[in-house]
Amino acid sequence: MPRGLTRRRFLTGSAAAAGVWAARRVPLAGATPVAPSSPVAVAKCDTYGDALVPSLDRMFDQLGGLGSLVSGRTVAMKVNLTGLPTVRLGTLPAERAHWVHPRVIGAVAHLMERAGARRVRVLECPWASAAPLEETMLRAGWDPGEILGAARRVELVNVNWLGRAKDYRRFDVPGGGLLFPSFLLHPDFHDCDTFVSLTKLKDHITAGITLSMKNCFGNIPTTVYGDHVPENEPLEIPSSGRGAVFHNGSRPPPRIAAPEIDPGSPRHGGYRIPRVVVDICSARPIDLAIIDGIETMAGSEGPWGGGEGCRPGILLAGTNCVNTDAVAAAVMGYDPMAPGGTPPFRDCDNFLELAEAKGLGTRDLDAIEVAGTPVREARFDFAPFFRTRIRHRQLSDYTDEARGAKEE
Amino acid sequence: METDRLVPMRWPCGPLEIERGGRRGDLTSAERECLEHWSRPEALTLLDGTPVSALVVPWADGSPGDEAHRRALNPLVAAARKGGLAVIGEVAGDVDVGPATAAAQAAGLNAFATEAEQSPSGFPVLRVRERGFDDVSPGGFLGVTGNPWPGMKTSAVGAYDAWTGPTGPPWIDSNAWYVRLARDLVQPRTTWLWFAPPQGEPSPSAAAYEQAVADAAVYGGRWVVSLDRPLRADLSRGRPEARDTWGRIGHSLTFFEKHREWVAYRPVGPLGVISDFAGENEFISFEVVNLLSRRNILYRVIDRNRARDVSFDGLEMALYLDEDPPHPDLARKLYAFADRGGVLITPPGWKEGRSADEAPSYPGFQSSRHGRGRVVVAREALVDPFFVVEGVFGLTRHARDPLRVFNPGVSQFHYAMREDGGSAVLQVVRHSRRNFETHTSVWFRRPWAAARRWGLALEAPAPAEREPKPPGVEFHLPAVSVYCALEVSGGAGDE
Repeated sequence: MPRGLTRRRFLTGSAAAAGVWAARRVPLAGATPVAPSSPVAVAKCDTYGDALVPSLDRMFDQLGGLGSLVSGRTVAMKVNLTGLPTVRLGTLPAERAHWVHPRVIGAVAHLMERAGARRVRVLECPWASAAPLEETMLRAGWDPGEILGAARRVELVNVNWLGRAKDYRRFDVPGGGLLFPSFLLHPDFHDCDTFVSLTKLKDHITAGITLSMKNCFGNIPTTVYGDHVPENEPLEIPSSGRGAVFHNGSRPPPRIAAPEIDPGSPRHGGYRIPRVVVDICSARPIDLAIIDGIETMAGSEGPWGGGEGCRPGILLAGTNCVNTDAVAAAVMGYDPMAPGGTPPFRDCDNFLELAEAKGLGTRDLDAIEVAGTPVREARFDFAPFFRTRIRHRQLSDYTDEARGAKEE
Repeated sequence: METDRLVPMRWPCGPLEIERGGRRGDLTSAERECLEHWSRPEALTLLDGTPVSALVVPWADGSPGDEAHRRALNPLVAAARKGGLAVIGEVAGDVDVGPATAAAQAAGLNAFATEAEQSPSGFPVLRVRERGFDDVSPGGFLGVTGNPWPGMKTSAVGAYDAWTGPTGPPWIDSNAWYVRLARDLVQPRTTWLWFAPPQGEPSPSAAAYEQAVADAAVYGGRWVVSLDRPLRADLSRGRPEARDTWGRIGHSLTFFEKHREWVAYRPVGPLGVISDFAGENEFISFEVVNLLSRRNILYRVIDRNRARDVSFDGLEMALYLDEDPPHPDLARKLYAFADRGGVLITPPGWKEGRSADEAPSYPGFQSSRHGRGRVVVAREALVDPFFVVEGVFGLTRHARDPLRVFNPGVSQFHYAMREDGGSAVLQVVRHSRRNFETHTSVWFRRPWAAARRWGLALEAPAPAEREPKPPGVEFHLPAVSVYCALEVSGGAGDE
């Protein structure tokens, strides 16, 4: 390659536009270990009404039944309630756009109790708040009683701060992380026998798509990893997002948390967030992934990124989060094998690829058994909704330089 | 002179103002031309079609040019008076008002406005002062200086207003809380806010001027309209953009004059803020109320000295702010409030409730059960208003919220009810222009039967789409640019 010419410039100047990213990709990780595969259940369900519980019930049966996962156990279920509870996509209530629907939470809790779960703890880090999780739900117009009453022992826990707990628990990333070697999380992520990620089927501005894995980025408490946390100790009360530590890496976490493995790594969200997602899912593995795609939004993960409401009428579940997210990506009309720089990962690396390389699970659809509705029948294309996404200048420059790729 | 009916505007003009510009060293020829133009009677045509009814003109600042300035203004003053305008002379605080008074009487001025405490005998003086109510008499004129220009403090460049994360609230400068505090504590007949637009490039937008008008008017105050120098110059030259901005300012003033009845409505607030709002308690109480307004926490101001006689009906939470303990009768009333199911938040040293609270306490507070309610005692003295308001926000229980506003954007809102409870109005002053917040929805616990929407540019109210959301009702509004009022009526129930 000529001196002084970056790889990107060279390629864009010499190759056809299509396939440029694929041609210039460099391996994201070392040798790929054998990535596990488990069945993923897909069901068409166009209502949060009566059909919901039977649909989920059938899906869990297709996975081998809930009993082996939850019977006699404490279940922790991370739900996706991103952003402030008063922000809506137009006039759409949060649960019909960017939040998992409360009836799905209730239905899952109900089925888990029926399968013998000892208790179900619903966990979320609500935006910059130490208020009880019920209050976040009330502010969104929900009746938390519907969830609390869905089973005998349901608890709602704000895991964005310690609350009554004494200390954070450290979760190491097995084999070392891609970006961070460990995370400090609320002890409820530790004091459970089964961990469930219950999320929404959505696009994501920084990570391309947000499904069961990206949902777990929200496990991370902003009292420890928030923008305004002092150097030496965590905050008592969450007061911000995680942008400085994770998205742009403009500051390290406080000293009680493990620092980033390589402070010289790229500071671009498109590089960092996919890696943090893989790290957190390695550190606190997901035992069951459930995705609510009955009603959702496309184009973005929340109203702040633009997007539109849509009704794919789909539910997905699986015991391997990478497999489940790969099938979900396909249902959204995306190729889970797509390289970074191409839709839906147009401004980032493909976290499924990173997870696969890490050995968390395969993203190869040919290697994943789909139970229930075939992907081709469930498919609902999200790509057209990019038309209403708000473009973020700070993310639209994910070049080779930004991702730290070296000239060959 | 009945100041409560006047719509005031600062009218910079004449030799004194030109001399000030010269001293400042940045007087442009266009501004000079404007100051000369505004000294002439024909400039008053600018006010045609607006509700501006009082001119505040420079009158004396103790310089040798005072007398010549006053002579130069005589034709303007005469024309203004003939046109039905009140004219108020602005006198610098350190000036001997004697000579200025005689000239004012001769010229037909209605009053002086001054920060000076001296009052010439036989001539009305509108006293302007810094914030605080220590020696303010109830029922009179309250002129306040030192107010910030309202609006959002931007921290980013380009198309974004203030990027603090996907949902983080940026800082808003506002005077609305102070107007409301004044109204609740000293019930002035008139509240005028004296603040000037930021000078320099770029000039404030028309929307920023509308915000300035609305910020004061929502609670019944009036901004003494003050235009930035380039805008005045452009108006003098008849530039269309300037005429448009001025037209929008005029519309805003007209709108709030047409809806003065809303000022008498009672604020709805489940939180009672109790303090004497004076002396050593002034800082914390003022700033807490300021921050509560910014967080859009609905509150009622309760003067500690009158609290024993004030009804706590409708309150869910009572925040006692003062370090010194209340009168024993008030203390009993506050604990009885908790006993009946309310939440009482106090400084350290107060007796805790009778049993432990099963819910996690908010950091910095110790919560305990007391009858059907709770007593929440701060662990440290209430000296940090941010800490107090964050605590209140975290301790608030939302099961009985009287309303919820969705997609408020960066805005402040005020919900108040007519005395007979038959109707209410929610006013929203918006400071952001980010484009994702396309619609605003408002849920009311009370199932109001109907709503109509008012905006500064609307000649007549528009209906608002109603959607039952038991136990209340939701109304959907189109994008709110700067200001919107939702007037609701009918329907049974209470807050």
